[in-house]
Amino acid sequence: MADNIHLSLKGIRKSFKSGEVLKGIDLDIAQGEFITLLGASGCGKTTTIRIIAGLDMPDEGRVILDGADITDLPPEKRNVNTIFQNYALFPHMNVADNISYGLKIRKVSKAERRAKAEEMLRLVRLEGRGDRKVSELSGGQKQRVAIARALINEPKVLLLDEPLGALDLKLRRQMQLELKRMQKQLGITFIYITHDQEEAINMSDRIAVMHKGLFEQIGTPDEIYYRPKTSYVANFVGNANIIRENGKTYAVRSENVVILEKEAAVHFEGAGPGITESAQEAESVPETAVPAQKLTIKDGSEYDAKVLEKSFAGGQLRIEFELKDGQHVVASRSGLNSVLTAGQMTRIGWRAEHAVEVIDDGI
Amino acid sequence: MMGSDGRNRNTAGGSLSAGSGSGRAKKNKRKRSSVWILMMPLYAFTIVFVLFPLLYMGFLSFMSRAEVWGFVNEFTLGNYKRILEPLYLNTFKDSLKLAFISTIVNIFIGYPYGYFMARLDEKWKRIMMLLLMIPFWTSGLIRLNGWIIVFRSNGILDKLLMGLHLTDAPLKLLYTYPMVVFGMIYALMPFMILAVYSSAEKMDWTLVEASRDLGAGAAETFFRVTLPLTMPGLLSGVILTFIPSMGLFFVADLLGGNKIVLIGNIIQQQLTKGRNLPFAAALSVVLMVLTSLLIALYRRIAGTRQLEGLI
Ligand SMILES: Nc1ncnc2c1ncn2[C@@H]1O[C@H](COP(=O)(O)OP(=O)(O)OP(=O)(O)O)[C@@H](O)[C@H]1O
Ligand SMILES: [Mg+2]
Repeated sequence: MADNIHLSLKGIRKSFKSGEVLKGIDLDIAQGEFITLLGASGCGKTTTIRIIAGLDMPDEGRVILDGADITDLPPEKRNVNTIFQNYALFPHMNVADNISYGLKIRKVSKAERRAKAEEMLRLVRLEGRGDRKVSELSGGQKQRVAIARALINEPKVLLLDEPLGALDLKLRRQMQLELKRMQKQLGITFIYITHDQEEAINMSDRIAVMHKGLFEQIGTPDEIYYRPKTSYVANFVGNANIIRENGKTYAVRSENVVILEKEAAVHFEGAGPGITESAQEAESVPETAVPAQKLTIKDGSEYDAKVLEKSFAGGQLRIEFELKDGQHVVASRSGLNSVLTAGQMTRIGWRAEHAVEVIDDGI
Repeated sequence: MMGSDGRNRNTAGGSLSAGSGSGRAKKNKRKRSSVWILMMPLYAFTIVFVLFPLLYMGFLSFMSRAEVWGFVNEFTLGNYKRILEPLYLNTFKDSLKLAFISTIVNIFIGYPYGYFMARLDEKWKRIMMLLLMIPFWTSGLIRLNGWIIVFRSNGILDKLLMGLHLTDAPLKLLYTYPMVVFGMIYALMPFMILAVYSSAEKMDWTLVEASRDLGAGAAETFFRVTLPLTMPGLLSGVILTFIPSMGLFFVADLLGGNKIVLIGNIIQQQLTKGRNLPFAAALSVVLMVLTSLLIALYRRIAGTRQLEGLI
């Protein structure tokens, strides 16, 4: 990593009238890497890539591309292109003219422009749509034109600001795969913005989790998901429960929360070998016939808990509990319903290896 | 008060009965006829005050002149023939030239003004708009008279310049051609500014950023993106300044003395001193045809886009 740094941000700070938006961010990106800036709305993602593109000037810090300081270069002098959040296609040009705009600026001959534009249209699967008006395109098509318009310039770095935000879920999935395919095929460095953690995990080589103008953690999707460093990262990326106990803070993802009493088959796999024999029997027991068995966890923690609420979301049943000290814990499992009812008392717990100690940043 | 009350009740009643009626078609029909009724006064107004006078003017232009006032019911092409006399042809030419010059200046000052005004933040936009509107609170005639006080021989400007020893004799600016051009520009500039402003305001600024991002410099971005996208505004600004500057006779009157004669002045003179109604009508018809041709040309260029600021 260290020896093929392609783009790096060094101590970037930026303030607007509303306050300090970037509070000194550092980031090293390798050639051909797909890196995602992930964070809640307003955390400074767009500002970061606008500074890389040269559309905003940092108050402090440097932007280095291939060893050259490009901080003071205007946007047209940087070999960096952007896919804007609203696509920003030129309404007075047709699709082909939009795509070949960068070539026209560089005075490439008409024949070559046309050939390249055709090639790009094929790449983004819009063959034969070159003479369409921009206003005649669907959201997904506009998005692909914007990608083609940027890629035709063969940028060193492509910046993508929530390019799939406006698309419906199905098209989004499809475009995620296509973007990833194009990125691999072309070997261009992608800096990708999203606030959808699933998208970030699916697509990225590395994820930089951003929070209030700082990177909380930069790492592979695995690292971010399984070994979050801070409570914010654990909560934002893994939807983990944040448990505070004996002056320490732990993150426990909801699928690792095991219900030990009154609800037999819950989280059998998640519980794994740490659960006593009786769980094996419990597996075959139909949900309606609730055995009065009790599970115990060998190496982990157990708590008395009150059932607060059950809800079904995102293909999962979520059960929220309240511990004796008032902390709330969410357990999730596949399935539509549970025999537990609100107000009931039960016991829950998790294995020690599933409780990741994190730095507490108050979330 | 009574009237508006009554109308409100009527429409409310109308929609009620339509709602309880059977079926969509009936509702639509009812709606369309009520729209038509509402439009009636507008049509009537247009017919009485626009269409009829126009037709009447056309008719007049083919009539003969009466001794004292009015016209004699005798068909003639003489009025139009007379326009072909060098005196009048030259006046048309001069008027077009003046309109052309003042429009060009208006473009070069008004476009940047309107464009940058659209880029200001909301507060400053409001302030600039107000500054632009304040002059309209006073009649144009009074404002032009104000300029006379400034520009006349030994007027405010001369006194100032001579007081500062920048000049040692009056400049004699008043009653010159540049003064009339100045007056036209002064009178019509706000229309150019507002027309450009209205289309620059609507333009998506990220398009400019996108162009820069794709490698175009600031100047190239202006010509490839900003100018094409604000062209409708610029063109309606041209229409709004070019056409009136051929007809604003009082500007030439007040600031040009009787040395500079525009087509508007001739029409006015023929109506008043000359008492030649049919000839004034013929001149007006020609002027109107000229301006209509310009608008047609504009529509050609602007395509199907709306005449921004005009409508
Ligand atoms: N030009 C500007 N002037 C003033 N404040 C700004 C400007 N641009 C951004 N901000 C502020 O900076 C903060 C970060 O904005 P930014 O657009 O970088 O957020 P983001 O992470 O991209 O959010 P989102 O996910 O909603 O797009 C916001 O609070 C925003 O209001
Ligand atoms: Mg953003």
